[in-house]
Amino acid sequence: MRQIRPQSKDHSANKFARLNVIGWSFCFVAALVVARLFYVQVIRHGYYEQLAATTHNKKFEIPARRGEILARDGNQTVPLVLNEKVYTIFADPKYITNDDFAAEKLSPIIDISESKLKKQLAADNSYLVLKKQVNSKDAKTIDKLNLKGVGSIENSRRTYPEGSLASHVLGFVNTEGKGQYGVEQALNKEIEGKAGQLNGATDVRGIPIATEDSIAEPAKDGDDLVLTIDRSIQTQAEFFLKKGVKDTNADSGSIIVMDPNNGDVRAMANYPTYNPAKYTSQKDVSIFKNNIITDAYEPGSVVKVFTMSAALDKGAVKPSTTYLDYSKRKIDGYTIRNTGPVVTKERTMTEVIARSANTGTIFALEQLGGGSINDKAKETLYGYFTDRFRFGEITGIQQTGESTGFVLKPAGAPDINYANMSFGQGVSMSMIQLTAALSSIANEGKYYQPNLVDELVSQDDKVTITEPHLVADNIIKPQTVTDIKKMMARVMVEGTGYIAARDGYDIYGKSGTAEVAKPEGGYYGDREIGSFFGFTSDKDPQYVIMVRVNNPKLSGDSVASSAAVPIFRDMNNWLIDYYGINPRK
Amino acid sequence: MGNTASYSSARNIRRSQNRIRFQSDGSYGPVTRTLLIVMLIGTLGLMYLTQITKTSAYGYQINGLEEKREELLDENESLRVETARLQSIERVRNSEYAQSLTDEGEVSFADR
Repeated sequence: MRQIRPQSKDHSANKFARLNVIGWSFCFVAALVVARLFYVQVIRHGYYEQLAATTHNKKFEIPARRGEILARDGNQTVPLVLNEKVYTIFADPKYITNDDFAAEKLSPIIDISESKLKKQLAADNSYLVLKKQVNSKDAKTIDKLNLKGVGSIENSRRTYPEGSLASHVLGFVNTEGKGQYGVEQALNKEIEGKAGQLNGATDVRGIPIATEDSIAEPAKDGDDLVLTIDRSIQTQAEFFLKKGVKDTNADSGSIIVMDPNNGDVRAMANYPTYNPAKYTSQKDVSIFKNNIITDAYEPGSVVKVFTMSAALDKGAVKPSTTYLDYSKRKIDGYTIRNTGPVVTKERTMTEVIARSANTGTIFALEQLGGGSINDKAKETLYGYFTDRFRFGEITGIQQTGESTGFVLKPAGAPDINYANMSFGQGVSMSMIQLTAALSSIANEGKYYQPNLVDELVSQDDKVTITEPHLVADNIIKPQTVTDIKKMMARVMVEGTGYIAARDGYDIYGKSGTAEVAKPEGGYYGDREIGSFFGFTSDKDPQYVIMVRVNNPKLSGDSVASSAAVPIFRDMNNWLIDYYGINPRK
Repeated sequence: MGNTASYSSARNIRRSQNRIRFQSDGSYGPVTRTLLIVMLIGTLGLMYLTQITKTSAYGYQINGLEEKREELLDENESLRVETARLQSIERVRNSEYAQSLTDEGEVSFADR
């Protein structure tokens, strides 16, 4: 029979002692773990947090989308500048195991010969750019090839669906992402937006993973820009300008079409021009300048319109006022002549504008001074030029490098300088200044600031419309407008503008031929600038056109302005049809 | 402490018969407690890890969806650029259709 012996007290005590040892050992180990955890997580918390952050957390810049630039086409908008993703394909030859295979696969996609690629891949480089500006379709094809050691970097570039259209208005974006020239530079702040930032945890491959600690500052995209430029008018303006410059073998030319009722520019072009998508291929950077804005020049006889307006407005002359024209005047020992045949004839002020008589505007200037070119005459003309027609200061149009031009102050100015000024020599003005000033005559005395931006559209579709900026009203009297328009209408009948006349239409214009001033003083004997500006319709004209042609090579005795008139005519006739302007009844 | 054996009262003891009964006093020893704590911590840790893994997995899923979205947006942009190019005035002017059009000649307007 099995007997159960009660355990001795010693044996039982030993057993409990062993269990105690094991228990306390566990507790000790647990305490060590806790202590270590306390050290790591509490005492060294800051250190390890920073270490983890630098290892796993990365900062990602979220690039902002640069605003698009659009133009008007009737009631619609059409894109002139868009953004396009492009890729730089690179290789790290160290990781490419089979050069021949890689070259064979890449060659047809990036359009580089296989032999050239092999040579490149065999080089001892760690980073090799194979091709830039690769489109996303080709970049994805390369990605799918899964070639070890070959990768791509995403970039964004500006793309121009209309090619070189309005390039001088637009400007371009340089390799650093900054706008250069045109509205790209003038409104860079509004268009470029602000890059955002993502502080995200990443996995071992550097791919950001979603955690609650990710801090994202969203990118603020740039505003889209809707220009006042009308695509159709701009296209035609560029077409007629190019044709006119080529027909006359001129060096260059410019054209602007402005709405006189609000200062909006409908077309603005210079020739020669360039394609902003290929701006790096241009050797001469002067081609990027928008000469209509940046280039102040001696405009010649177009200024007679403003001199005569001042004299009419002051009541110093009337359209019927006459003077005896000897075809020349001697002032301060200098002889000033009219162009054309030498005659002695009594002329009205209307004829002065129609025939573009230099002696006639000198007469008008003298009448401002009560009969001579004195301080009063100079101060009055200066006042009209600068305070009324705003020559000598920038217009503030959304373009860079605008020129102020130059108007000689009256104090101490020699008479000869003011005599020259009266017919557009010895002063300098930009085409934008002249067009804005003529617009104020076309719209009966309102001077609007020239404007290129119709709307700014933010990323949240908030539209900021640019309201017309009326700088000054009633700059000349309504009667002055009526009189000067009648005079300008005569230019289209008996003056230089006759070839631009059109039956049934009231067209008002004025030409100007000016010598080109040398930087060191004096004039080039063989260089001339021809200009013509004008508008159509007696009531509420919808546009003002100004054309300039630099150094045309014309036959015979033709003056440079003869090169500008055909361009004006073509543009004006096209605009009459485009706007559907009815002939007078 | 753990389970302990104890003798019942003397009057219940019969000859040659053990009257031993193991009786729990309702408390656990240090080893059990430690093991229980370790198990509890382990279970909680596992639960935590499961959740974190799930979050990360969702993160990848979101990442994948975002990539897909980006791809579609890119494609949309490319198509927009292509559309704009195809609708450009220069292209329309040089199109076969436009080439076949005749010049409008002189335009005259009827009275409105």
